[in-house]
Amino acid sequence: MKNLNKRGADKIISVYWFGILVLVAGGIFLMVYTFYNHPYDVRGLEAKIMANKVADCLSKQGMLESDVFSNGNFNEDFKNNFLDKCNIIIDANDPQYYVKVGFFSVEDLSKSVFEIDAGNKNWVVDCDVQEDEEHEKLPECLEKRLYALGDSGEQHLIKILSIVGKVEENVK
Amino acid sequence: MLSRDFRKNKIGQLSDAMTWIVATIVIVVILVIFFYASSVLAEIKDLEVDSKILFLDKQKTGEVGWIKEKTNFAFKLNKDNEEKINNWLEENEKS
Amino acid sequence: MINRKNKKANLLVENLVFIILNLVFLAILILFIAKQGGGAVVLEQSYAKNIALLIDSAKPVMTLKLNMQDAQKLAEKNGIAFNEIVTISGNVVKVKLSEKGGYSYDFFNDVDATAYPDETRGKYNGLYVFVINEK
Repeated sequence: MKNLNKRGADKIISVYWFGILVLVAGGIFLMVYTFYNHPYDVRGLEAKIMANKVADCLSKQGMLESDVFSNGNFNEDFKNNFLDKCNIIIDANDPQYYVKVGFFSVEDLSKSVFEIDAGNKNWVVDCDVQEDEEHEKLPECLEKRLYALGDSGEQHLIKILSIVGKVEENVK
Repeated sequence: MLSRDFRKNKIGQLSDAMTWIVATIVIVVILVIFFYASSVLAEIKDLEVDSKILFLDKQKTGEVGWIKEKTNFAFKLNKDNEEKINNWLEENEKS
Repeated sequence: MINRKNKKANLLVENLVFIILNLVFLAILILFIAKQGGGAVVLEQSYAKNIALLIDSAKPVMTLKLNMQDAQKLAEKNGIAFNEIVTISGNVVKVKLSEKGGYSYDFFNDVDATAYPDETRGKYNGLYVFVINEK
């Protein structure tokens, strides 16, 4: 009688034990799936590379390129063909980037004297939302500032805002 | 004698069940904690990319970045309003 | 006396089966995790994004070499030729390491980028060459 009772209890516990194993296996499967299914987010790097590229296009060795600024004036043609001049591709049908360049005078830093932009303008609002806290599912914003001189030594301050969308490929 | 043994067996079975209930709760709690940790780690995992190859600023080691180099060049040519310009450059840089 | 002998034999068999099943379970779990880490899906995404970033920061005329030995091993295992794992069309990079797989990522640099596998003495050495030219 005693022996039968003990075996019965062991069998019930064995079934339960395998139930626990299935639970643990399920938990581990979920963890692995969550970890490896999450995409790499490279938008920050892309935004930095974009800003560097634009800066390189505008200024070399401390001077603004003659295409951008010459004879005391900013070149409207450069503004109209900005993407071609700087070798940047932004798909017109589904723009996943936005670039804005603002030129400021040292005398008045509150207002830009010349602006160039290209891409999806709607994302600028999303950058303002992320001023205090970053939101993963919003486009990635980056602002870089540099100083360059015009052909006659005029001082120009340049603000480059680069925004990268691509939310589906980088965030889950 | 027989009845005493019987009572002992009952107590033994109860404590087994309680052990398993507590064990299940502990296992579930640990699984939830690990699942949360894996989702946090998934968000912070990064591609191993060398910033130097991409010509990016490497602020940690104090290297001068690509854009900062251009600014330095400009300062070498014209240092007027240096403080005002530096304050503007450092102000509100979103990175 | 006889009862005690029987008890010992039963406990031993049960414990042995229990331990073996647990070990099998652990082994399956570890294999699963290891396979996921080196899986095609993760590597495809990693390489595609890496290549896109490299092309973005490159200028004409540049030649870049990327070590893709991990991708080579996996592609060979999945029956994909090494010279077919990376394709660049327009401004989109696609990395394919399995028959039904493939991950695409686009870059913004307006250059003419081409990719081909590097060879040493007629054999692929695991490196991929990316040539960046003006359009």
